[in-house]
Amino acid sequence: MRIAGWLDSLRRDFPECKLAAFADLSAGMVLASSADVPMPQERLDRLCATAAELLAGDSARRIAAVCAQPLDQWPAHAMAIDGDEIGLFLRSEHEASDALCCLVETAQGMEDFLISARQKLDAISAGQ
Amino acid sequence: MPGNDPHHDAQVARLSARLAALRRPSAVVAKARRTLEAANPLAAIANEIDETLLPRCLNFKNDRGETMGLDVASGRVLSVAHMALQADAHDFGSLPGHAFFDADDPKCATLIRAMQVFCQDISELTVKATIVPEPQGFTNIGVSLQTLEQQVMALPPAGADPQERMARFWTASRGLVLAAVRCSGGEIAETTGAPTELDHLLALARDELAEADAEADAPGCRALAWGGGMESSVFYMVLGCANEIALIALPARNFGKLTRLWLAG
Repeated sequence: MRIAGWLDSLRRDFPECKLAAFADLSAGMVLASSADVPMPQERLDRLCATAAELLAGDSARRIAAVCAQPLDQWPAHAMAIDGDEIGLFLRSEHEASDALCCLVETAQGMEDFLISARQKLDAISAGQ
Repeated sequence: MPGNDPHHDAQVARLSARLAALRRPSAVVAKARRTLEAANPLAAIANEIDETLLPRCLNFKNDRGETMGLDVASGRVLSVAHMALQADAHDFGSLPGHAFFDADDPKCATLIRAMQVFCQDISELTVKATIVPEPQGFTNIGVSLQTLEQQVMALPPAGADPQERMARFWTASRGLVLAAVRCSGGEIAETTGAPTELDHLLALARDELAEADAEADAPGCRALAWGGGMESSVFYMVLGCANEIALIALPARNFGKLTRLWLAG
């Protein structure tokens, strides 16, 4: 399945997900996205930058160092809430530069969403 | 004339029997605990209260094992019979045993907050109705649901005051965290939890406070979180609202609950 297909599938299963984007953290680019309304590239770039900072940037390194977590594997998940916008970010456990960036409208059912998003990201990283 | 008219006497006898039956305590009391709709628990509790006309104690229980007993009659809450919540809120302890004289009772708002905490993020809600032992002891008229609803609407919006919002979250999150540090006005104000994780959070807190000086007027409320796998790892959250900051270490399984708690204000 194409990357966009996995992202569409995630959003079909979870209508509260307004945007799902697959990003390459090392390149700082969103490679594919699925959204209710097409999002400007500048917005996608900012989302990717947030993902890079939280998953692999200074803040991630600081938290990992202080909290004695292995930086090469951690964090696998990150979240940023500003006002009423909820950003969820997942880093692939197979390809460190692969990441999924999602904007969701509600935290209801977040546990199931993260499980499904992880499955989709694993499939994308595995080239399925 | 009584005794002379058999039809009249029969009518009187039937009426007397009916009046006697009404005076007896109702034998139709739910013995078993009933399951209520947990998708909207506050509405389910309100419905139970509204439909309870005869004096009863409604004993509610959620899937956290928390309980709340309300003495109800004529669709009005007369008193709080008992309450056991995980949250160690500063003013909830004054509710058990409190009788609401009327709608102007200042503890109405406290009861609403307690009910909101009781209903927060639950997946199961049950109720069992028991007869109140001494119904003639009710001399207060209690508070109706309509009044409680008006009180809720009159409450300041959740999150309107950063300190209040943080205090509500801090109280409600007890039992869901491994460790937590609360900072207020640029200083560490309160800590709780396991020593190892607490040490991590204190180190982070000092960093956050040093950075916060440069963002003293950061508007709105914000939250950041980091974590490993969802199966068994520890997550870390940094929550901020004006100059109120909370740093939390929590089990991954509580990440969704705490996020919803924060968003609820």
